[in-house]
Amino acid sequence: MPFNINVLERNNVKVTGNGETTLMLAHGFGCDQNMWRFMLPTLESNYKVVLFDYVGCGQSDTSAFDKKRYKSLDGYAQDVIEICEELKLQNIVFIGHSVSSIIGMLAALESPTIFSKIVMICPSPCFLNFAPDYFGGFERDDLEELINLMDKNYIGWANYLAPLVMGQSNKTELIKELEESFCSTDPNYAKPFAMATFFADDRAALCKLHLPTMILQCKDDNLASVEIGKYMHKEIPNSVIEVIDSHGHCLHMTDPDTVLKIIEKFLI
Amino acid sequence: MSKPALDSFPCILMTTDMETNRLEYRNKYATELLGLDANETTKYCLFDIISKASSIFFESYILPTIVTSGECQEVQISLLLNSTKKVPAIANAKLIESKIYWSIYIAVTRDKLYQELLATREHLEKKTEDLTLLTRIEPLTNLLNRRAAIDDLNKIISQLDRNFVPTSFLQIDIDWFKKINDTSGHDRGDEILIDLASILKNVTRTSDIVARWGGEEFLVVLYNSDLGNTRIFCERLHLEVNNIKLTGENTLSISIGVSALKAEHLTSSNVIEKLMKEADIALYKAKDNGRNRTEFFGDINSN
Repeated sequence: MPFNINVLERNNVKVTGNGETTLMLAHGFGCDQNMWRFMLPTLESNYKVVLFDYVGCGQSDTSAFDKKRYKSLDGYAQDVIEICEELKLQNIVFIGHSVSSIIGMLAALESPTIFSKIVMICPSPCFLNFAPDYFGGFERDDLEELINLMDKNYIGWANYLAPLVMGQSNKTELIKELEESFCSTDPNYAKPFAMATFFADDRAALCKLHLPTMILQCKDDNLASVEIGKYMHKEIPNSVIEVIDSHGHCLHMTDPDTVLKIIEKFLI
Repeated sequence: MSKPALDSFPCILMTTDMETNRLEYRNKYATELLGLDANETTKYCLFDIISKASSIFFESYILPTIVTSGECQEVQISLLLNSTKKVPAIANAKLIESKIYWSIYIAVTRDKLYQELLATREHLEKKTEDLTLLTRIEPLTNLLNRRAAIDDLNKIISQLDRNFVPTSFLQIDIDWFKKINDTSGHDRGDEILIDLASILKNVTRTSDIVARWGGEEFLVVLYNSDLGNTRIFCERLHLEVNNIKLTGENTLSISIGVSALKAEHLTSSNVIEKLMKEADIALYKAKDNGRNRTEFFGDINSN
């Protein structure tokens, strides 16, 4: 049996704010719900906001970590679905950062009534290159070597990826902040999540997503290029795309006001 | 130190610019090992001589570490020999006035050992998982064994202590099992145990506990199920079990004894024993009342 049975406790679910519309904010790889803190104060005054940590991240109950379940993104999508079921949420707006955009899509495809709209911040359906049709940015070999280097260098996974996702051109203090929100990530749980994230290929599912979808892509992002955003926009039938002139992979932290404005417009 | 002396060290000595990552100095050993053009002194940059994964590692870990603490010790990277061949190496780097000073050693043998260690760790993890599973499973029915059931129960109890929801304990016993074994043989008896186990698996949720308690006795713990729901569950279970055919017109039946976990039970140190005992009393009552039925400990008490 999976532990913890209590989903809200298991995923460290927090419900806050007031408003008719409910938003669910889903953090990306190596982070936790604190990543939303720059946007949260504004969102709370207009919306009901659901925050959570995936099992193995942040303050979640790690005793519930099941290697098999969290081997692929479907396991993380199950977390999302179970939280929605537990809180009896229907037709809410899902806002996902990076890999969570894809996790949200998988959850929406499996459980079509939980979301009414999806916002994807710096998403990528596949980090691997499949020349000549698709360039996710990395060769399989590179990613395998990267994971191997992480293992052999015996350093905190979190610290390792923080600046990468943040973008080199960002201020050191912002990177430092990001590192701090990463620090609770245990390699035992972070590695399966990294593998699930970096080796996923969910391109085929994009065209099945019929919900209104907003894609927010950063102009200069090591992990998810503008081309990937455009590819997703082309594949997701009911999608719009906004490219933001910034650096890095964490627009919700580097450019919270811009992201907020775009989301507000999208939700009207 | 003279240039010939630096050239004689059996390791790569080089400097790169922190902003541009240009290779500004390298010793002869580096030029030869990496297969660089000795006449080109400004052409190369750091990313020409390390793998792409190492470049990501540099940008995401080594550089920030150098910026924060002035140096980065003993990190493994992959060098690119003649722009193609990847070779594991250990690097130490130090920052002095916006220049990074590197000493890099080839680490092929050490890497082999690391690789072996990783494989061993993975193997041991897998073995531990397999063995843990084996110690939890009863091999005939593939249900949890008694020890695993108690482990899981203890975990449920501590969760319920934080966050109470009604939970029911069901002791289940196959009716006339000895007779079935005697008339149809032990193989048929085993089949029946397997069939019943599969029914129990099908009618329960992943949050419930289903275990073979011993012999022909089973334990089911229904998490977040009040007595009303448990009653419906038991009725359905009886019907499902009655579908299993025995000899002639006979069908399989079970008796069930139910006890309900209440919040006040949780303060008691032997809550599991207490509930099991109550369920057991209810089970005997079900047997006494003609079998193929469910009795609730709470009902017995109120009568």
